Amino acid sequence: MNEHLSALKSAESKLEAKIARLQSVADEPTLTRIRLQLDDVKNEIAKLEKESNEPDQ
Amino acid sequence: MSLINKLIRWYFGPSGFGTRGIRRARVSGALTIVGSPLTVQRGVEVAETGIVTRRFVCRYFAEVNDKLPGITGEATVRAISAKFSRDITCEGEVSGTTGVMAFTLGTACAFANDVSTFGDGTGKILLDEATETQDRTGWRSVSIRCSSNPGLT
Repeated sequence: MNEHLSALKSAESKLEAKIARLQSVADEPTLTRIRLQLDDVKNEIAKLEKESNEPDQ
Repeated sequence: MSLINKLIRWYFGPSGFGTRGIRRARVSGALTIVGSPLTVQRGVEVAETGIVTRRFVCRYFAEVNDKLPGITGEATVRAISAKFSRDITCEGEVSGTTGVMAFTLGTACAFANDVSTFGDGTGKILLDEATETQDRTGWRSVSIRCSSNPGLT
């Protein structure tokens, strides 16, 4: 679980850096696609963090 | 508008600014992806300077990946690099003299496209070889091969 989370956080920072890098060179559909990927990663991170914070039943 | 006028417009296409045809042409400059997931990619993500990129390939691999066979000949232990090495191939039609076309031996090379999807991108990217091709029936094109090793920064 922790490895998966750290891999997702690494992917998140890579995608944020990629958006910053491509801001001036890529067209809007490309940036939109990368933002969608970033949203997917952020959602997955939020889901995992919520699961890990929930008390054991 | 008469039918004949419509036919003439259809045959010769739109003219002037503000026509539907101009807008259609602008839209066709980029692809519209329909369906799910919308995060798929078609084509090369971003342009490289100096060439019209036809193909961009980045291979990530472990420089050391050595298996120690057990008594049955099957691997039981493996020594593997902690970080990725990379082989990068970039091909396209020559469109300028800068960017990819200005790469030289022994100097770090930079690409606009992704070269650290896997791993942390450690290692200077160095030019290995460049092949320039001219073809009687095609465009002048180049194929560039670079590589990087994480220990060489």
